[in-house]
Amino acid sequence: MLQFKLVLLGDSSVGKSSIVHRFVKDSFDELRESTIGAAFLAQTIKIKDTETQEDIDIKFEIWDTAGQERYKSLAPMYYRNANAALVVYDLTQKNSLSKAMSWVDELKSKVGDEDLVIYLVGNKLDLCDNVENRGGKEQEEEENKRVVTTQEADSYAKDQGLLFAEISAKTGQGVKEVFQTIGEKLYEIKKPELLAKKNREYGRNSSEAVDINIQRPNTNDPTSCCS
Amino acid sequence: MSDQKEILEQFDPLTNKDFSDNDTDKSTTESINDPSDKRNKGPNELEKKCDSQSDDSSPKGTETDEVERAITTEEEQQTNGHDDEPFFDFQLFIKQLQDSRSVPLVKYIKSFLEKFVTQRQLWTTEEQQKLINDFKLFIYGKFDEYEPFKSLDEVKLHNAKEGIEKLVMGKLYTHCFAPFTKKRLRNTVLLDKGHKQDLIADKKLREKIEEFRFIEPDNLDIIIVKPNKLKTFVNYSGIELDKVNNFKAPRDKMVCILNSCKVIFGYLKHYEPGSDDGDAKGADSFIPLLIYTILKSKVQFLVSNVKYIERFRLEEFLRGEESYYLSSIQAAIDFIMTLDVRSLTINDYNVYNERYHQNKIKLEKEKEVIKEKRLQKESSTTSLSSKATDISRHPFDEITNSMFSVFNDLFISSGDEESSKAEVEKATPTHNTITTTATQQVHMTEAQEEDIGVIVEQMEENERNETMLTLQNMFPDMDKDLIEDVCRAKKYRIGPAVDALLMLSD
Repeated sequence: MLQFKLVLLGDSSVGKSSIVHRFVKDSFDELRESTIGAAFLAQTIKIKDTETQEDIDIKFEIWDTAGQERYKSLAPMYYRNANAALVVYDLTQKNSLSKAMSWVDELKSKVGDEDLVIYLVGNKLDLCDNVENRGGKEQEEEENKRVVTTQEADSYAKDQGLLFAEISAKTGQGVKEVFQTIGEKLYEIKKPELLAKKNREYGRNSSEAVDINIQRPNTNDPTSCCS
Repeated sequence: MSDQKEILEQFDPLTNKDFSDNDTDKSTTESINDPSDKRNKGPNELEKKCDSQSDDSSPKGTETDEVERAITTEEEQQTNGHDDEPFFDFQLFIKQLQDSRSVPLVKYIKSFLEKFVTQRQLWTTEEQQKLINDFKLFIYGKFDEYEPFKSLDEVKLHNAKEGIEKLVMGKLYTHCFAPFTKKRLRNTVLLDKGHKQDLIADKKLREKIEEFRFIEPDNLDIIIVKPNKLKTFVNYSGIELDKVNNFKAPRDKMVCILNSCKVIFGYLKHYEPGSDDGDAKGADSFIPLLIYTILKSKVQFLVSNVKYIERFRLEEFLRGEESYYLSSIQAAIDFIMTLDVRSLTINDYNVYNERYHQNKIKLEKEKEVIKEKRLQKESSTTSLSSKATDISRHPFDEITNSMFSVFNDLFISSGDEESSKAEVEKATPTHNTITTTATQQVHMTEAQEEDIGVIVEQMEENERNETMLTLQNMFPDMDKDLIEDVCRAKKYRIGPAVDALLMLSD
């Protein structure tokens, strides 16, 4: 099993915690990793090795942060040694994208790791009139609370080399895919390193962030958690 | 600098140099290969002590022992194996260590502890961290070689690793935990930079807490529905947090921190409805409340405790949840350390300033009282030791200590005030064997073994009563018998018990 640390960043009302809640709730295996509370959650998913078609278990340790401006200075305590960061903004809040951008800047300047995977995520898609699906544009202006356009965020993400998605924690739309993509991306990045390690020593813990542990068979777990 | 490196190398258990010093290299190795063969041991004091402890450890009845052990292991696993929290059984570990086949391991431990406390009066924090970590890894490696550890399964092996950490840190506590190191040395000037910094930070944090202890939840943007409930839970969370000072083992301290956080989540989960997207239960709510809890608590030496956990908790254990909540405590400490008016939300500055100054005046008065009390105490001799025992009343560590004393040739005393005095007087920076401990040496007898059982039972009983009392106060409307039932079901662990009771109270 591979273990990755994922940190959640974003303003306090963008729904970062609810994204993780949705992810964990929709995953079928029981949540026995977290015993204290919802600020730290762990969840395992399966991905496929593109070459061998072998199933790979990926365990995310998800670190939530306090999004209020006042606690911004505490974030480094949380994102150090992270393998991935979910930077969340609210599609219906004007300022939230620029705040997300400042998180991206901070991550890029403060986290030394070149391999840090940053995923820009626009939440609350359920409140937005889904223009692409409906074809029409102006008809339902009343319902559409979107203030951040897809194009704006997308081009920023491309520019910065970030992964990007618009999702809804409320309906679950796109949530699973975000974590699946992060898992695949991290696996792709870490694979050469892992193979080298695997050859040297199998099943030993090390001090590095990424481990290969021999997973003990757990009869309680269903064989797969994600489709 | 090169001197330090030399010592580190010499001390490094992986080089095994400390054994070759004794000119009994060969016999030591032999006896390690065959633990039951004790005749060709060298004449050094170190091994004699070992002999006296394990005189009856002739190779007997290994087969039946093995079977019995296998059975009990399986049984225990069934009861403890799939619990929500791994259950730590220190007694089991001590029993394993008392096994005659563990003699070589006991010797390694003894040798390490002896060298650690005699070779130098004080190591720097970095040296301590390295020495202790290296030693733990060394001993864990040895688990693969010796029974009964060799055949332990993963869960039991984890337990044994925890056991080693608790044992070693329990004995080296006065050397490694800054407030106690200071007491042991009796002089801050002698302290190394790392420990000094810990103490300075402790003092600063305490001052900040006192300066801002009057603030209200809304100053930290904490939006709450049930202010009275919040008060109760914040109070208990703070009490749980302050328990870090009741324990010596990094794990035990960590458990106190986790319990404290658990109580906060207990409040959040059950009394705050939160927004429908569930954000109210995450870090946005938790971290401000943790800060608030610390500001309202009486916790002492929090920085020293956090640093100590960071340095001496095995990295392999300090992961996931443990790591997250330790980081959160650190973040909260950072926040409080730099706290001033600008970091707070203030609706009415007049009210705020009034409260701020009132608190200042109150604080001054409190300090006066403390000063007077101290002066009185100082005139009546033992102010230092009474203060020390104040913070060293620990239920679990008393168990540990009593076990230590039975094993005592293994352990150079350093846990209690009396012997540490002797140590400071005797020990010089050069090699110096502590003769006082040799004279204190006690043989392992059956009577003492029974004593341990009684002591342990008493301690556990006390601990259970305390947990019951805490929970009764936390849930005053609840039936006492119900609380007791829940406690029993949750093995008297406060975290899970609070959770279960909250569920019931809904």
